[in-house]
Amino acid sequence: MSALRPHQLGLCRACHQFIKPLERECPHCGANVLRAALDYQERHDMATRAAQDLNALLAELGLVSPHS
Amino acid sequence: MSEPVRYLSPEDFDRPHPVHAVWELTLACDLKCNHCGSRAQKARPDELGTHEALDVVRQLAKLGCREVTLIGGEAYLRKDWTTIIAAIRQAGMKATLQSGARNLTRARIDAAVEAGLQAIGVSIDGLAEIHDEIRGVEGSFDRALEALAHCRDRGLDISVNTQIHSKILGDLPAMLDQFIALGVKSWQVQLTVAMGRAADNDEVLIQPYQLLEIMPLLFSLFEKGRAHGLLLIPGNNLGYFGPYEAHWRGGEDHTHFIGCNAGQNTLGIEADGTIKGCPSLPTSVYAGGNVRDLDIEKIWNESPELAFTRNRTTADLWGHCQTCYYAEVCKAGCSWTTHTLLGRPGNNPYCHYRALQLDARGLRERIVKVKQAPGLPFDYGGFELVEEPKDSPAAPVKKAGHTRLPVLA
Repeated sequence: MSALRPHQLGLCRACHQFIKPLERECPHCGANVLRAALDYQERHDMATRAAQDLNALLAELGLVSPHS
Repeated sequence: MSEPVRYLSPEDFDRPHPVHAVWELTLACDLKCNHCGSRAQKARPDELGTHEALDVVRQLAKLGCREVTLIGGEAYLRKDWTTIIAAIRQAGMKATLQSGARNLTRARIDAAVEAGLQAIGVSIDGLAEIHDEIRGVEGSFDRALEALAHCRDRGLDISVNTQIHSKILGDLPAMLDQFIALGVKSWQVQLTVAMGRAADNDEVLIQPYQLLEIMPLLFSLFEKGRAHGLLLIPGNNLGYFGPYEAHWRGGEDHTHFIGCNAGQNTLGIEADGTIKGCPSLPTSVYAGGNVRDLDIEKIWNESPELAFTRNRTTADLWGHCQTCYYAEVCKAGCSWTTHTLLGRPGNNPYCHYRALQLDARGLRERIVKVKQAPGLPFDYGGFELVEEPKDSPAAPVKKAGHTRLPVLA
């Protein structure tokens, strides 16, 4: 990679502040970075499934297109 | 929807070239803003002629430039401004305009659209009373909104640029409501910088510790704007990191501020052909050459005044920025802001993360002017940085008279 390409930081999923890629403990909020990422992914998956279920229900009721 | 042409690809970083050029077509201006960094008023005595300007367009296209933003002064005060817009488009680049819009009449807008202008940003620095005071011309706020509305009706992408100065904070929520109602799609905010007339009238500058109040306010406006289809964009000198970075600069792909881009993918051109790595940088220090003497490509590739950010490392930083957690990425942020304030880049007190860190230790930073600017376009004076307990008495508000200037017809 070119030396001119910018550094890419990671994100602490507990406080949503940027952190260096190899951090284990967030320097901003003290969270376990890996644990916070797993928790975030779990919540994200739940929210995605809920949105899909809601969309399917609305489609059954004819309120939205099945593909919306 | 296609990505804006200014978005940078990995290849753009591998091969620094001017993706975006910002071109002061003339220093002639019909406003008399008391925060103007370039002290715009009369045209420079030796501005490029039409033939020279068209050659600049050719050279920019050859260098791989993708967007040219025309500024001033007021670009529309040049008689050949639509000829230059047409040439930019014919060369395959995006043509955009940044204007105070006091006399950006329907006829001028129509002519620019016919020539190929694609987008416009209008500078608005408060509601009517504050804007007209800062811009030095009564009625300039109304004229700016009229111009925006006509540009919208002519199909241009319309945006607003706003400087965060000491008098604007109370106006910002109502400004957002007006912009939403007007159909503005993006609103870029940036801090007023201690350059030119803003260095003379330094009471317009905010204090670094005020970021603790300003950033949450701006973020609340960002969230409200997003819900109404308006994107508030933090400018390059509004940062850095802190609790909002991932939300308003990051988007879905979690991008973040990556340091000053001057001379890496941005180019500034002054009306007399002077080339800089960013249009806002002080001329005395960052002029890399002139198109009358050298090709832009040669200036871009060989001038150290343009290459200074390509080689910047943490060893170039000082003060709090030197030991900051984000030093390797941020590299003290906007070079224009820091150099004009403290006489050299590398230490930036206008940082939300830094203000929060200091606040947690019971401290804050305040700037104090110690040296007048000489009075030239893009000049600067001198300021000292005072670190003090955060409960220190407020600095006295200076009531100095503003620089009063005649206005061009």
